[in-house]
Amino acid sequence: MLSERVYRRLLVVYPSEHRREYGELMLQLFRDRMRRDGGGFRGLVVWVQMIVDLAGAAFKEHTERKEGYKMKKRIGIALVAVLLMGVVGVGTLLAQQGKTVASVSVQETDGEPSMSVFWQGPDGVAIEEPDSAPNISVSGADALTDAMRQAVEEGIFDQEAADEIVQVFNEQRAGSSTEVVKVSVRYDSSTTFSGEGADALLVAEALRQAVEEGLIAQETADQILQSLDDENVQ
Amino acid sequence: MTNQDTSGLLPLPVAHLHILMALATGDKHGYAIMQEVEVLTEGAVTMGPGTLYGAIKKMLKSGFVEESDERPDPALDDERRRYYRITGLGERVLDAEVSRMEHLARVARTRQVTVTRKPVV
Repeated sequence: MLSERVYRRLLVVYPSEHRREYGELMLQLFRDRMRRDGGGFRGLVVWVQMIVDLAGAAFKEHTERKEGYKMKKRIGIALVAVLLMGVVGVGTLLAQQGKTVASVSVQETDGEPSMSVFWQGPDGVAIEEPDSAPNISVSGADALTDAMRQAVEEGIFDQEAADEIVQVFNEQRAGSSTEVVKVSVRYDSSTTFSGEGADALLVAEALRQAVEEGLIAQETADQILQSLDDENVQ
Repeated sequence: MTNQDTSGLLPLPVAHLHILMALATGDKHGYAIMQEVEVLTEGAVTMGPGTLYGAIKKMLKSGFVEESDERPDPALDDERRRYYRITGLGERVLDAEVSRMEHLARVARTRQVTVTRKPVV
């Protein structure tokens, strides 16, 4: 049926996720409606109703999706800022212990942003393979404290080392500067950017690289730096 | 959740109210919901696919409705159809919304609220 094929094509105006979940059901309802009212002038009226319905519903879906994305992005930016501060402290102490931070990632788990930390030894070999590595995933404002608590429970650090890490982190927040060996930050499951050097340069370098590679917008990078500045001032 | 607790979920969007009313009489698939809404509104409202499934998606998330495994009419059933059922929370929200509207109508009648239209010049 031509009208059905046209309507199927028009469904492309919905966000893909919504289309996957409800596309066939919407098409089925369209088919039912056209079977009942599709003939003659009435069919034309139904078509107009369908177009109005489709445009209104698709606009709503896109708007709500955008608002949700914006909110997640804001949470993500705040978490990355906290994360970068945490990495500075963690990396410093681990470097003193002959270990480096191999990878830190921010990702979404069950709709919540979360943080993962991987460590590697001074020879550049990961303590364990990433899949089975000490992978501490935490979220929220107390991310570092939670990560350290889990690290102690997992036997990665003893309590004393964990306390020191948190202390170094807090000192970093107070504005002191210590060198960091290496850090890489993954903003989502597929995007990675990294930098090396002293802490202040590290963040700027990682963000510059991320902007250069088109992974984040300049505005986002500026916001992260601004958040870090704000943290340092407090 | 008590009726009082549902007050934060009100007022319901009109499409949500219509769908909950349609499901209050039994599990239905999309087309049956659309037909029932037409009956309830005496033909004034015919929901389109986008409006209907947009509302269902939100109400699934809110827990007002859920998908039903039961196929109410196996002989006439199409396996591709999805049936929906009102939940306990959905019933309480519907009840609270109807009470809210009744109260509003009562107040309007008591105060003899009328709409005065300005003459078109």
